[in-house]
Amino acid sequence: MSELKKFQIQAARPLPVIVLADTSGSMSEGGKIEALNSALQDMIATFAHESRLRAEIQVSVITFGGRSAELNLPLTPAHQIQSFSQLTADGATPLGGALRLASQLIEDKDIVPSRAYKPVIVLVSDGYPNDEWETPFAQLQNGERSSKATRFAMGIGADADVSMLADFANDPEAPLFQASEARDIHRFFRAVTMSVSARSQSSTPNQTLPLELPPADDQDWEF
Amino acid sequence: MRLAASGARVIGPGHLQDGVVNQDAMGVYGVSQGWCIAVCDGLGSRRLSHIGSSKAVRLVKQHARQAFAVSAQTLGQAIRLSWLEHFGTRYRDYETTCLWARVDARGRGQAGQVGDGLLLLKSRGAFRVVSAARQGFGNQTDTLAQAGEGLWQTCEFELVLPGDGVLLMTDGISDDLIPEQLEPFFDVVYRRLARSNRRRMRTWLEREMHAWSTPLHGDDKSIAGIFRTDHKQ
Repeated sequence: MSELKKFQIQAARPLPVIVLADTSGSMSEGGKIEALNSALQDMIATFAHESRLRAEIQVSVITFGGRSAELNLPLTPAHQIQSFSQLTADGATPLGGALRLASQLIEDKDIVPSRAYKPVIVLVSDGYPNDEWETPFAQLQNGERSSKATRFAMGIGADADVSMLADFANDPEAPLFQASEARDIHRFFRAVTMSVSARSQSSTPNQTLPLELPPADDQDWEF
Repeated sequence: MRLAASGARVIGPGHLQDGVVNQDAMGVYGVSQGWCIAVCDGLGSRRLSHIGSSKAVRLVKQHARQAFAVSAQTLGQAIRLSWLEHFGTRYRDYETTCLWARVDARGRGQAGQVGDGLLLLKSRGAFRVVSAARQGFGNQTDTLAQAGEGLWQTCEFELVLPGDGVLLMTDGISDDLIPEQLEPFFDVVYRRLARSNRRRMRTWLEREMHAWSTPLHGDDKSIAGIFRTDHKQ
């Protein structure tokens, strides 16, 4: 009978994955929002069924569309996510609000405890932000805790703000991924899923692993 | 005066799974009729960090022989400089955290920490956490090599009452402890050590660490403590 068990936390160390998803009106064109919904569902399902984990993968989705950014899915262990409400595309691109929400989430030690592995932030956008986003971006880049997060970015189509997205991506092994069509959204999320899953199985889950994009014609998805 | 000291280390399930050696090192040494302890956690991202952590523990023993007139900060810096001198320009492959403590035969003590882990102290019956609150996330740590002025957390103390002591552990343990339960945890370890010898205590600690109950835990685990077990004469 262990005498020390009562002092031990009965929850695995979290590995937070925070998706900032563009749900502006332009995402409704070319099957982009449908592809994003499908890719997110696949990612969450894969995380939920992952075995041999050394960390508990948690997922949050922050959307920016319509008039403001919203916390669509609070940070939740992937295996506890029963259903994921489909994102709909409408309105403007209020990225600044989404960045602010992401900073608040990461800096809150009640939500992301200090024992958590460093978070991954994934930004997906097909346009130019049309709110004040520079200040919240600087806060995210320089925040005491948020500055330590790994940031991946994907620009969709020719109208994406490539400069901003390239600045957002902070992993030299994973520069900005540019998607030319809806199916590329799947490829990007598959790469993110593989990177996070491999981290969660590693004996050193804090080490970021490079994004390895599957070939464009690859329809298989095995882990 | 009676002092008791013990410690133990076990390899983490994550390293067992990957066939990696234990990167923690732990030492308990009798020094000048007192005790000296150290726990060091080699960085998982550095391939030779198990050698770096072992060297750090041995250097703690070596430097713990210095007179108590030397401050804990100065002693910590001496350990760091010796470690850097030993590994030279290749030091990045060997990076490690370092937690150490020493108590002399009169109950005077010093302790220091750089990097992750936990340094707990009870002196004159008053418990405190010497470690600074972590600013980042799990497994993002300062290292012995980086520990210039200001990075060492140090303390000077006296063990006066039975149950006074100093307890060190690597983050494989400290990250999974309930923060509000640190003092009761400290007291349970003391009470077990007070009725055991060093070898039996090590066996008990190893059994407890092998039976660790936090889901999905993977880190190596090391712990060492020095406690006073009688009243001051």
